[in-house]
Amino acid sequence: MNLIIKYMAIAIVLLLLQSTFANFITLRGIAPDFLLIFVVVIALIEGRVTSMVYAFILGSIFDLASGGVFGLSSLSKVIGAFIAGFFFNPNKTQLTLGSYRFILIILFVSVIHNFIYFIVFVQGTEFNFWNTLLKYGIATAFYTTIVGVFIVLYFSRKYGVIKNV
Amino acid sequence: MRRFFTILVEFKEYFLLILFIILSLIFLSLNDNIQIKKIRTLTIGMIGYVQSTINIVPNIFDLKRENEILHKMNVALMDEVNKLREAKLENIRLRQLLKFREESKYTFVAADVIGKTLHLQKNTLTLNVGIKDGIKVNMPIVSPQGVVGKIIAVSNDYSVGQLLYNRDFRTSVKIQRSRVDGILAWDGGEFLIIKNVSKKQDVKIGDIVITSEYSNIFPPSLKVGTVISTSENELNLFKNIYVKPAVDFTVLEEVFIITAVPDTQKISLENKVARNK
Repeated sequence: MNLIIKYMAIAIVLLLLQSTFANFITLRGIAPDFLLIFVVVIALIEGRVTSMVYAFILGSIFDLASGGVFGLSSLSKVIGAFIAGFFFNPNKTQLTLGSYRFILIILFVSVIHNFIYFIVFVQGTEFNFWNTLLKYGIATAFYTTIVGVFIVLYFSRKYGVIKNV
Repeated sequence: MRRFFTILVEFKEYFLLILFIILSLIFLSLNDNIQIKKIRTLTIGMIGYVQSTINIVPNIFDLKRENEILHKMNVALMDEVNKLREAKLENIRLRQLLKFREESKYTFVAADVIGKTLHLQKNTLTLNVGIKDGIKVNMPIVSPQGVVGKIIAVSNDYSVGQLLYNRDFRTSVKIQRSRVDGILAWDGGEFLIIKNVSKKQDVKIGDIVITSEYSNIFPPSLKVGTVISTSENELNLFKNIYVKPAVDFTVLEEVFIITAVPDTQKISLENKVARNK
């Protein structure tokens, strides 16, 4: 129960960060996806089901808060959480979170997440899907991955993974 | 039923995925729903409030780029402001010239000053009008403020004028208030000078100096300047009157040339009488 409250608190803080603070660190309109990082971390610690529940709730609230297409973030984040769940291994959680593997997972999930997001997003608009994906999707994925490096540093210090790997 | 639950538990992740995807698709279809819009408005309002409170924090990555853009914009705007300021000043000057021209009884040729010297003993200005425009030597040069000088050389397209601040310049003037006559010249100092005026003559500081009827070049009553000071010598019967020109030569850009030629009949008669003396 305590864990759920802890995750909820972190989720609310990240939601606020994503809706406000992310605007201050944008690079030519590109902002890192804190919520996706959280969803991936939950998927690696708690597994697919918990991660998808958080992904759905956070995605829906973020869509409402950001003024974006309602249901789009929840859809892409749920699929992102599902894919991140493939890397869930209760015996290797610390190793995964505190090493370069996490960075690769974040990059992979982020690319898939943005792929799905922009497939739906460009519908009914004059945006070219591949151009949009390359210009925003891939760039966002890399920016999110860079932020993910800090998560790796945090967990590697917490678990002392770097010394053990 | 039991078997169904077993399958459900076994494949719960996939069922959950399908459930959430279906819910998300329903949400996508509800984007135009009024309730959804109201919830969205409420949520955006709350987030907007939080955002406005932390808005004092600048975007650290965009600051440099924004600064560069603002810098370029600033340069462009400064250039624009300078052009507008120039246009405004030119407009004021041209309005003054137009007013002067309309009010005056003389015929003028307008000219732009395309060159001038102000720090020599024989200061001149170059104008963009010449013989083609009807300009001749000895024609007076004036501005709305007063007398500038006279033409001393002319070519087809250009002419050179002798300024009041020129050692060779001489002209008859008078004090407007007391009608005291004198010859105005320049001895290289800060001000023009009217020499050898009798100590008894009524001249006060602030008196306006105008061209007199005795001048063979300048029409009478054109403003020349203002008496700025006088100096008297106890051993002498005369005093010097220092005059500040009405025209500021440093900012002179447009002038008029009065196309009145000197009265040759009057000049020749005066010369004849002088020779007989």
